[in-house]
Parts: sequence; C-alpha cells; structure tokens
Amino acid sequence: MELDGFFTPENSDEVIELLAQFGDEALVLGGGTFIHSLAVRGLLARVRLIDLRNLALVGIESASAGVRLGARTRCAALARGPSEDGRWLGAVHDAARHLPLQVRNAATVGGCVAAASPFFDLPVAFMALDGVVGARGSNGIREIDIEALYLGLFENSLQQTEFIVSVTLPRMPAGSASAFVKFASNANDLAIVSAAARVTVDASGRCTDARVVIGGGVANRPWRSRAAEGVLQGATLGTDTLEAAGDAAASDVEPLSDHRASGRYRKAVAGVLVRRALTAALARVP
Amino acid sequence: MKQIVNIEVNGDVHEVAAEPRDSLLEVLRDHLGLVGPKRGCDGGGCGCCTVLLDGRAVYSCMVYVLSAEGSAVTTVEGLAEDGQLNPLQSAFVEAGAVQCGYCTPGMIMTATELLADGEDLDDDEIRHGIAGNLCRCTGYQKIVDAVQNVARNR
Repeated sequence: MELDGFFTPENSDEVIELLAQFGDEALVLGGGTFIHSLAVRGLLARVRLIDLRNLALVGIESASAGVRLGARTRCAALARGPSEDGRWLGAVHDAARHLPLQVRNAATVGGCVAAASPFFDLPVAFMALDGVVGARGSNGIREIDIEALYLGLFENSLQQTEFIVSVTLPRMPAGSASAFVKFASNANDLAIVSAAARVTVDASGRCTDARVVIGGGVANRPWRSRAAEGVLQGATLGTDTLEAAGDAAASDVEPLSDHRASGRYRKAVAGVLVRRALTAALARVP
Repeated sequence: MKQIVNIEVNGDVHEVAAEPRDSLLEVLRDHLGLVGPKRGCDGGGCGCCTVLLDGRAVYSCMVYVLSAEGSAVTTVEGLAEDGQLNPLQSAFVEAGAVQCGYCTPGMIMTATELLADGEDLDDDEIRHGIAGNLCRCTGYQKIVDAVQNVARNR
C-alpha cells in the first residue's frame, strides 16, 4: 500500500472536501482494523486516510424513538448488556461480544458498517433491528436503511462525498427480543455463518413481527431471509415452527465456497443457526 | 511524508516523526526500542503486539500511529515498579504461565485490562477475555491460573 497522506479534519465540511479532493483514493478511518487487514494483504493501492477523531461522533444516545450510536463509538461500548428493558437490543450485545477484546476496543460502529463485509458480526445484528445509517454529505444527513447500504462484497451505497455519522436502531415494541449467534473456526476468526433473529410476541404467544438475518458468507452481503420471516409471521413459536423457519432460511441462500467452508456446508449450518438465534431471542422475550 | 506525533509511552512523552503507514507497533519497537510488544502475525490475529492505548487493550500492529496522537500507551515494560515485577507478572512466573515467552507481553497486557475494573472473574470470563491472544506452548491453563490468582488475591 502506498499510504500517501493522513488527514485529521476538524469538522464534517472538511471531511467532505477531502473526500471530494481525493476521490477513490480517500478512505475514512474509524478504528483502522479493517483498513489494516486489507493493507497487510496488499489489497489497497494508493490511499489517503481521513481520521475522524476530531469529530464528536462518539456515544450511545437512548431516546423513546430508539438508540442512536455515534459512528466513532467503539464496538466495546456495545458489549455489555442487554439491560432488563433492552432485550430488544440483545443481538447487538451478543455480536459485540464475539469480537476479540483488542478489536472491540479499536473497531468503530461506522467502520464495521461501511466495510460492507458479510463476514462481520455487528451489521447482521443491526439489520435484524431495522438499523438506519446516517450518512453526512454536502446536503446534510441522508438516512439509509442498512439493507440498502449493502450493494455487494465490500461495496456500499455511500456516495463519493458521504461518510457515516451514526447508526440508529428504532425502539421495538413491548414483547420484542433479539439474539445473535455465530459459528467460526475459533474465537478470533470471521464467521463461517452467523445469524441474528428478532421476534415480537403478543400476549397470546403469537409472533406479530420477526426478522431473520444471516451473515458470514451465505451471500455477498448480510442476507435478510424473508422466507424464514414468512414462516414466523402470525405463528405460535413452538419447536416445529422454529425448525421450519431454519429450513426456509437454508433454502433461501446460495452461500459462497471459500477456504473456511463449502457453500453446501454453510447452507446446512445456516438452518441450524437461524433456529438457535430464534430460540435465544425467544428465551429473552419478557 | 513524515508527520510529527506526540504519544505518552509508559509515562514519558515522545515526539516521533512517522510515516502515515507506520503502525504503533513499529514506532514502539523501531523508534523507541521497546521490544516487549512482539510482531507476530502483523494482522490482528495473534495478540502478541497487545498494548494498552488509553487503558484499553489493542493490537498495536493495527493502530496507525498518527491516529494515536495525544494518547497514553502502556507496554509490558511499563508495569514493573522500582525494578520489581508487578503482581500479575509475578503470578505468571509462579504459575509457570511462560514457556517460550513470545505471547507473554501481550497476554499480560490483555489480562491487565481484564483485571482493571476490580470485578470478580470466573475462568470462562478469563478465557473469553484472552481469546484474542494465541499461545502455542502452555495450553492456556497456567495462564488462566495466573490471572485467576491475581483476581482472587487482590
């Protein structure tokens, strides 16, 4: 990598100017863990790093409408919980805890989303919670549904002069809970398959809303399985239904084959993990 | 083009001229002569470069040093007091948690963060906490024992 310049802009307008000036060579730096992992593999050509450290984008703001995560919030800040009234956020806490301590302490919310990697854990959880990405550009902040942020492998839908300032998770109704599970070769590796599930259950035990998202190379981006959600919607969530949702999710994906696992293997694991994520989410429903 | 970065390392403030691509690890080892942090995988997978950056364990190989401007870094060299090993370092020696020694500085820095908040730790929490540090000699049990000895006896 030819790293040709390191910039520490003082405000959003300066960030946008630098993004406009350097075009494809500009990379916004959060914690640097993803950028470093590309650089050591020789996957970056000429790069100018734009470090956001002077911008006040750190913090978790909880309001009645939901929780807003500043883009520079370290993933470590999400690893504790969920609190008693935050069970709907369970998937986020689960996913943050899967990162090794040293990565959790460096990696940022904005960076892990902007990377557009299907192998990362937190975006899978964010997608299960209908996360909305705030992208700052020259015309102010544009809100992007996180599912629409992902175009393909390492490819996001940000415009050249936009950068991520926040991820907002809308508060889920009473009776909601979520969970994230991951299957990897070891505690420090990327996911072979991961799954996040969120359910909302009414007083009679019927599922009124559900999200099922699968990560880790079952597609070129985190994959929302509407087929699995269709099985859950309106159903009573017994063992048979969860099993059927897992089967539907597995049928719904055409996974990648790589050095970590074959596509066929991932497909089988996806069904199991969806069932486990749903079981874990259900166990958290108050 | 080199830029100037100011970092505090083990209590001393250093002004270093660094290239944008230089990692914190390179500056610690090659500019400041602190060879406690080791270069293992150089890719955020083995943990032997672990240092504390403003009190939090990070892979120093993955931190661009220019992004650490104004930060305080602690390496394993900063733990001993008046030439005496600190309690965690002593516990590693006593438990036989060191064999080849290559992972030890990183292990100790990660464990330093785990022990920092003073809460009780069970063995699972210790194992989960050091998951980002590889050891190919000890089988981890003696490392867990060493950290647990400090957690119990403080």
